[in-house]
Amino acid sequence: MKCKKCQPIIEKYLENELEPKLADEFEAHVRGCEKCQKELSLSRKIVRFLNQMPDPDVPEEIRTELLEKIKQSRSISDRINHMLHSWRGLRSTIAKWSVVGAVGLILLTSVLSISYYLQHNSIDGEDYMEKQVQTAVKQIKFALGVTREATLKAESAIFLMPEEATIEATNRKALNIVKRANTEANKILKRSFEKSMSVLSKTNLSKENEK
Amino acid sequence: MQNKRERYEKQFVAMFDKFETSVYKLAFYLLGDKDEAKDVTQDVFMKAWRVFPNLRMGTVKSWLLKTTNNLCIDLLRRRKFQSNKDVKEDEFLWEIPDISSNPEDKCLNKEMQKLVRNAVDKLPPSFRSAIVLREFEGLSYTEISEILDLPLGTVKSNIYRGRRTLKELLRPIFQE
Repeated sequence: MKCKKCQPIIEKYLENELEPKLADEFEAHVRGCEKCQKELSLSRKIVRFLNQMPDPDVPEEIRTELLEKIKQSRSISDRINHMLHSWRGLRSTIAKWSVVGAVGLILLTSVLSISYYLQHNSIDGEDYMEKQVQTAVKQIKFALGVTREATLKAESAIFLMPEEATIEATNRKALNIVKRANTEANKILKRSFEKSMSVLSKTNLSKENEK
Repeated sequence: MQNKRERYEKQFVAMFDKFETSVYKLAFYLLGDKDEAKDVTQDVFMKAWRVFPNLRMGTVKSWLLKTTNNLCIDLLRRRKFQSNKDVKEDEFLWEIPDISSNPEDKCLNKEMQKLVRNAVDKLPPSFRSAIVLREFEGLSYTEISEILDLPLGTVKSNIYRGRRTLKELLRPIFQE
């Protein structure tokens, strides 16, 4: 090893960071080279001096001022918390009044819209009745469709479940479906019929009055 | 609530007493200015206070030194630090306790400390942080790597290069 290669690795050697083989070569060279011995000694001296540099005195005011700042931060954070709490109260009041306002606005708009509609669109009794009857017919058809579908479902369920124990259960289930569908259809029929009848009587009454 | 707060304050003050010297020392050597080092130390501990409940005691020193280093680097960038800025004597020398008993040695020691301080000041900030943490704070390479957020190899390289630069700067003084 030559001085040129030796000197850049002095720092690594001092930190035991050289590979063993390279460290052996380094030591062998330094033993026989006065110049590199001086370099190694200088590096050691400087590192030792750096390690022994005394700590600077920490100014006392850092502590006192910091503790003061912490106390201030406490009062500031308390104030912020207080403000947040007040804001929360205010927020809930605003929320309540917003709901009340929104509901009121919806009601007002609805009333205005209905009155506007009634003012500008006269209802023809016969037309209205016809529409009601058409709706009732549609609902009856729908109810009949539901009943039919339920019956089909029940039948297919019975067909697909061959075991006796399950057949009984499935039968019960199917019957219940059919019953429920029938009841529902009856209700719809009844409602439609009643509605149609009332509209019809109202129209007749208004026609008689007109006469 | 109040007790919890007081407990936090007590723990925080204990942490401050334990690490204030390390934080101040790093700031002081990196900035070369007593007042700025004082401000940075206070800023670091105020930051620590804000996140104190979330700080883990095992890594608190690393956290403090990392924050100190970052704040100092920001400051250095902002003021476009002149690397050849001389140390103000009354700011630095009279603050350092003298360990020598012989009056002649005392003067020599103080003079040497001043020159070493000047030399450290002339290092680029990346070398300076690594040298301060390694030589003055005695941290391991791994700890320095964590604090400076640099790979281990870079940290080692910065320390070796810093030492070589210091050696060249201090050669005339130490060879006498």
